[in-house]
Amino acid sequence: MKLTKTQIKQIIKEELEQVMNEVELEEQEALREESDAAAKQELIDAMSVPMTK
Amino acid sequence: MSAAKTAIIVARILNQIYKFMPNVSPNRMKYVQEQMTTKTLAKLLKTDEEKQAFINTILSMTLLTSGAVDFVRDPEVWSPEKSVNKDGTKRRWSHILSHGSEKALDVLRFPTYELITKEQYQLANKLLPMIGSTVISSSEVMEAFTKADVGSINSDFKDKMGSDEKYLGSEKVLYRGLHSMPASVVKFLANPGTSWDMSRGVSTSYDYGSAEGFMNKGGNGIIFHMKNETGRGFTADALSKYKPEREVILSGTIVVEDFTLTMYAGEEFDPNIGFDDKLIKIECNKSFILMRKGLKVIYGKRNVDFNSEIKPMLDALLSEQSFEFESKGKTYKIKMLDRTAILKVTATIS
Repeated sequence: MKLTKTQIKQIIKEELEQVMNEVELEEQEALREESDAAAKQELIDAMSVPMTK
Repeated sequence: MSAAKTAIIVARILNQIYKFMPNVSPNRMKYVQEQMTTKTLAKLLKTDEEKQAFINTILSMTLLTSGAVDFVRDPEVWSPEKSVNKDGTKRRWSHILSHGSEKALDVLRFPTYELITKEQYQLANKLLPMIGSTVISSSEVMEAFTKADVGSINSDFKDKMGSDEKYLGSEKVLYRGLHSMPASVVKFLANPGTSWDMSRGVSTSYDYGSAEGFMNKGGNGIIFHMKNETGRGFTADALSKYKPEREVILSGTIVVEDFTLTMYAGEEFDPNIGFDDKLIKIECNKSFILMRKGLKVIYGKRNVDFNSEIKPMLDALLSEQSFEFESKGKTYKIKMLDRTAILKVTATIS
């Protein structure tokens, strides 16, 4: 099968978009994990302190 | 029975003794309480191992409830210069012990006049996870109480223990308030199924009012309603210097079951001008959203899918981002107002 230049460009564009989306999702997931870990630590520290203080 | 468990049961009986308010003069009451303390310790703590376990339990509980929490969390940051009272004097055990705890330690010849050491904070750091996860039953406490025979000193106390028997085990529902929390923590918790490890020991109360009062001290308040079906925890209560807080030390894994969140948002009508001054009150739980602007309901929905409708909204608003939605043909773009969230969390501990 022969591909034209336009078709090749289109395939590259789509593949690139897909990779970029995956990277973005991974970055979002990493950010969420980081934010959850920070929130968890904040929570653990706050709950260790008695309510008298 | 292990020495550690015996120690916790004895502490539970002492807690009841120092909660007991007989209808006599304060001096007489103190005398009766001290008599019962001496007898309980003599009858129930037979070995040196049991005595030491009891002393360690009382010291660890006291360091969490009345000592420096930072040192309990990380004993390595302790230094003699930092271990001082507000007036700059060096901190001794007698400064932070409750009357009941001090009396019990005196009976066991623990030198309560001595300075608190780094090693004792290290011990508390090690013991609190175990103390907070202990499960004791009412019957175990009653059995020990009968064996100690302290009821013969005061028949009113004996009657009180009998009538309170079902409350002698661990509390089945515990509360915890938090205030001035970052929005990221509210976001983390407003998510059923979320869990985290609190095995190092957390301070809770069986008194809802104490937790609610603490929550109301600052914006972005959180209150936990924790179901403690397995009956974990160490009731510090009257053995703590802060008796009215009705404190329970708890450790385990906390899992969020449900939540109710209330917060305020402003409507963004022109990015250059800012926000509309008429606030939007948002109320939601895992399957329900209601938004009101003044008295007018602008959005309301029941049986909502949490992941597709509620979570994206909370993720945006609690991350200081705008959230856009349509209702009755109008598009709204809103942003949360800082420190206006009140979160009520129902959770389980195991």
